[in-house]
Amino acid sequence: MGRFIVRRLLQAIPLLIGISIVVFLMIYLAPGDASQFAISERANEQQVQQYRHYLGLDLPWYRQYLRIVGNWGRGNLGTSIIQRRPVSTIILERLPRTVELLGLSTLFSLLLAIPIGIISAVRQYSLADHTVTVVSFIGIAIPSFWLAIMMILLFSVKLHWFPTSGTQTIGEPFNLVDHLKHLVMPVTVLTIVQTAGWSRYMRSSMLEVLRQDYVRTAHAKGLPDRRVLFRHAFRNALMPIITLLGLSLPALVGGAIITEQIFAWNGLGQLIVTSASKRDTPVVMTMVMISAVAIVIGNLLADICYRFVDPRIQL
Amino acid sequence: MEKTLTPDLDVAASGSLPLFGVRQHKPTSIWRRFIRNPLAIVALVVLASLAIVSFSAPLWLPHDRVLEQARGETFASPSFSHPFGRDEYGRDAFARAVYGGRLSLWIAFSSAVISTIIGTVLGMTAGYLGGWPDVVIDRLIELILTIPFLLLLILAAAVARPSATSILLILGLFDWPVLARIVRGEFISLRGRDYIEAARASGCSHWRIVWRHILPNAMAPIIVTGTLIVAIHLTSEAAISFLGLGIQPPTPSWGNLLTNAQNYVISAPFLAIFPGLLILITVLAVNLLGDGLRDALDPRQR
Repeated sequence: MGRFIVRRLLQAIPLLIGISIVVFLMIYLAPGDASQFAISERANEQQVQQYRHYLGLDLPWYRQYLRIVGNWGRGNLGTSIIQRRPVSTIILERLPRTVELLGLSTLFSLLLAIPIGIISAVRQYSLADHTVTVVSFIGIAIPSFWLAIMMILLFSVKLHWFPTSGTQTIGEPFNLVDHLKHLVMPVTVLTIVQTAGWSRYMRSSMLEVLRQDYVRTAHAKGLPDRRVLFRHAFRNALMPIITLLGLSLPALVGGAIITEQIFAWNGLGQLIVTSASKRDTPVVMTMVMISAVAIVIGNLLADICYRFVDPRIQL
Repeated sequence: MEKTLTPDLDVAASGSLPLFGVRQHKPTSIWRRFIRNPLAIVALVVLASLAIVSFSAPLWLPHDRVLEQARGETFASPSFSHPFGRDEYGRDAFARAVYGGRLSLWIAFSSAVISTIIGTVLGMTAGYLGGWPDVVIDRLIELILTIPFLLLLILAAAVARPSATSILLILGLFDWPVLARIVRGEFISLRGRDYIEAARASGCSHWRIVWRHILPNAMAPIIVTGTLIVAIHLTSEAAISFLGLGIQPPTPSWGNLLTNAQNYVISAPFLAIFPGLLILITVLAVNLLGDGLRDALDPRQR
């Protein structure tokens, strides 16, 4: 197990180096650079050039690249060109907002999707199954930001139950109840969209497992249905959900970009949108690298979880 | 080994035994299974009508209606002559939705075709050959999956003003990795089968084995995933527009109609409701069609 983890992490190194170069070049090759967004519009040509020199943006691309990566090597994530603050401070400031949003919606989605998937697999083609199928297909098809707009229209504008956007009421000191009220709608939107997809996966993998020989054997030796379902079938049926969970770890970094944008939720998703449009290379590269590491770790954790759920799998 | 195979091959060639690797399901039985699924039929009819209505639009709905402004009638509610109402310039929201759908459907469909072709070819190569081509393609897949799609769009928008072509190319050229992985998996499992061994022993070239013997058996997941890519690209176009990186107004697309409508959601909610419903219905129909195709093409996989 230990050797497996070390091997996988070593294999990831070329990918991480490749990603950092590709992303750097993408930003470098796009027209314009951060200096034009960071400096006053009235600055003349000479001042812009001076500022670019000061930031090192006039160096050849590989020297700029090595400077950023060299900083990382020394444990320094660099400084945002636009915000003129350390990248680590900016990210740590926003991370909790995204974690609570995605953490809660993932938790609720799992709590809903797993039982829904199991029920509609066990009672395949029943009324419950057909209802769930129709609802989840609609949930998959619904554009998330349209759902968000409709919810704002209904719950904020018409019913005044929840605030339209933000993380807390502006001008008031932080207050947990107020914060939770702001959290309800974005979490609901994300939960609906994720639950719809995940319950389909859960249903089809449960159906797959229920047809397996060992499940039939378990039934044949006279075990009660409930025991066969939970002891024998359930754990194996969790596999695709684990893959999806592993894949959703990097989403933490990208945040729920659209949802954060529409509810003006100042998490990491908003950060990457503004930073990329202003070519804030240190911020963008750090976020992409964290997300790449999260992908590697997510896949690794998923593989390790497979081993726990299904002892037949050798790592 | 070859000796024992030869007689079988002769029988096969004469037609009394099924040929090796030839598609197992006859087209007629696929169709019969498909039409037994009422949801899939409804989905097909809905999609066909949407496609016909939007692509024939120039024949019955003058394009001028898309941009024609009526200053006195801004935000007019839906009526008989303007079923979707009028927008902030008094433009006919119905005409904009029809022409917008034309663009959105075109982008989603053509980009899905590009993704499907690239994904299939690379997945085939990696899965059939194995070895270093597999390693290279696998790393490429990982690389593309790791690059945030959004970053690509923001930077592409800096290079050139976003157009239908640029959006469909970005979607098409970068959204093939999932399909490639699926095709690769199919090819890895199929290339070891006995009938492929037999085909190889009887002197088939690699090309022939791939095209005639493996690909037809891997068609079911390719068609189904390809259909789902159309649905994903439809919602992607809307999401891209929402971030201001999609089709630029005044040219309408379902995505930017919805984005624009967000500003007037309190005074004119109907502007947001109709394009949203159209996207919802279309994506729903594409997904149901994909589901129907899966059942028809591969009844074991349910």
